[in-house]
Amino acid sequence: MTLMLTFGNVALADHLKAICDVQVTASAKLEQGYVLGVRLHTSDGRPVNEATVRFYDKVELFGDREMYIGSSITDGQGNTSLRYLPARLGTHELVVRSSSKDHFTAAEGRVTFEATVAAPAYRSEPAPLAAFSALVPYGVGAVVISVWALLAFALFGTARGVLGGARDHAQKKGDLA
Amino acid sequence: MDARTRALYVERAVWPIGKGDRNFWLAVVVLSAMVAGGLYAWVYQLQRGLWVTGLNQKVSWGFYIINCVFFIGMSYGGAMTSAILRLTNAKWRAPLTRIAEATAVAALLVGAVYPIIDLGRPDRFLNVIRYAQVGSPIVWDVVAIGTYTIASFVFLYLPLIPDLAIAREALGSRTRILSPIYRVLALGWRGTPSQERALARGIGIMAVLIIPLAVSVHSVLAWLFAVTVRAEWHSTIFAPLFVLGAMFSGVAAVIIVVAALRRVYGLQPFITAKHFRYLSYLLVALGLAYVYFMISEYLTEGYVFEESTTPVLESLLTGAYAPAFWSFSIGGLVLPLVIAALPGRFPVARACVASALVIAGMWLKRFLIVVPGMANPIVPWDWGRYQPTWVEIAITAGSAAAIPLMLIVFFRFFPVMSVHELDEVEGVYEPPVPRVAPAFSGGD
Repeated sequence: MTLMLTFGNVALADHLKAICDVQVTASAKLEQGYVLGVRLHTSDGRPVNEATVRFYDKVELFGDREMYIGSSITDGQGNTSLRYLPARLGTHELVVRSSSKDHFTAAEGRVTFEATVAAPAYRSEPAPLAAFSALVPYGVGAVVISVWALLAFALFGTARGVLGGARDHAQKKGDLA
Repeated sequence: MDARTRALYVERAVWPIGKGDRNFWLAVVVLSAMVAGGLYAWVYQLQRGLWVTGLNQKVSWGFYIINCVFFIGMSYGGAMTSAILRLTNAKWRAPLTRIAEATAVAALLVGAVYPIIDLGRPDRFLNVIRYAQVGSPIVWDVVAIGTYTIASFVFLYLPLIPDLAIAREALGSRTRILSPIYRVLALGWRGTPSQERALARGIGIMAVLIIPLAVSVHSVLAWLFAVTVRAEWHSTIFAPLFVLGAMFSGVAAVIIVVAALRRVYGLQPFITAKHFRYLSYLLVALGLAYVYFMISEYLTEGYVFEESTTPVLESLLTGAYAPAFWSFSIGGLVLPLVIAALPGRFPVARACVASALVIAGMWLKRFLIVVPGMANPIVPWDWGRYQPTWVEIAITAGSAAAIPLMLIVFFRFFPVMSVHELDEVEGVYEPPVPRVAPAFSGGD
């Protein structure tokens, strides 16, 4: 419905409320994930075309946050879509927003779906000399323990030798007496 | 060595024990006051936080890290001097080794405290042990310094065993209080062949072990700097440079301490100009090697003029730190080598002057490693500035005073020269141990 207002001999049109319908379907190729389909229209069914639609996935990162995953522009029928391969399995809540355009208001749509397909976990490349680096702590630990053992031998071995000599000396003196 | 000279040697070695003359107490009071001032400054810092120092976001390492490297380096000279002289069986080592070993321990104890002072919260040191990461240079440092500290104590104690037995017999009634302590620490030493063998084996092991331990400590200290992303620190020459600098400043410290104790305890008949000449040769050799390493470092950087290292090089040679750099290079490196190397009169005085310049210069060098490296930003910021406060200066002065304080207190209880080592060097000799006559005063 269009409301005409007159203000200073210039006609103004009220903004039309836009509605954002979101639908999630699995991609034809499983490894491509999901297709997020959006239809942007007014309450009386008229399409909102050439509107930029942004897609967000709700995540938890020190609190609730919305992770931006992409954007697209609606066609003449008010339709648009985005391919999305989630990073994790499980429940995802998606938020889709369009900003106001011409005489259409901004719109927001939400959908929750259960992801059974996700991107493979990221595996970092092994660091150079990783196999060698893994053994270095043991090697260094062995050297440190050896040094401590040598220190203990120097101290206690000497003490033992000196005390033993004192004992022998006392014994000899006792024998002579 | 004839019997009379040996008796005099023993008498001089044990002369300070139990002696509490006016000069001793005056020195203790003055040094203790300085140490107390340092402690007060530390408590002040503990109460108010590190903001009372000149440390800031851009320059977070200052006097404390400089002093840590400096004092631990000084300890290296003492340990190395004693170890090398023993291993090479130098005939002139006997009067020096005890002083060198004690200096090593005293300097090490002071230097090892500085990382805890720098932490601000000393309790956080426990985190290094509780959450130790094998890949952390801090953990390497703790392990290396801890092991080296224990080794230094062992290296000081083992040669003391026979000397404590000799001191106990020589001093007689003067050691009424100390006698039980000597008896325990001397482990019943009688000088039997089996005891001599055991002792020789233990000291031999320690003399060999202390060298790589000391090298490892200074290498790890150097790697604390070298494994960072700061280009002016990220240099392969840092570890050898630190080790050599430690030996250089350490030998200088030994010369100063030996000269001071020689004068105070009247050791002139046994620590002669010859000892100072030989130590000066060692100082000059180490100094020349250090000059070579420095030229190699700066030539490599200066020839390439890499973007990351050039700002610091410019600041050292011609910029804000140029006065300190050239003071170190000329006054702390070239001039003392000339003074020590040139033949002439007054070898003791010249060795002392050269050593004092070396010690001051090497502290300045550590300052020039730490502060400009920190001040040079690694992101597009202004250069940092560092202005030490009275807190850092007081703690530095207090810790510096702690070293002579520890030494004079140590030699109040233990012989200042090694008698057993003299016997080893001069040949087996078993005279009756004379009772020590009442003091005759020292002085030059």
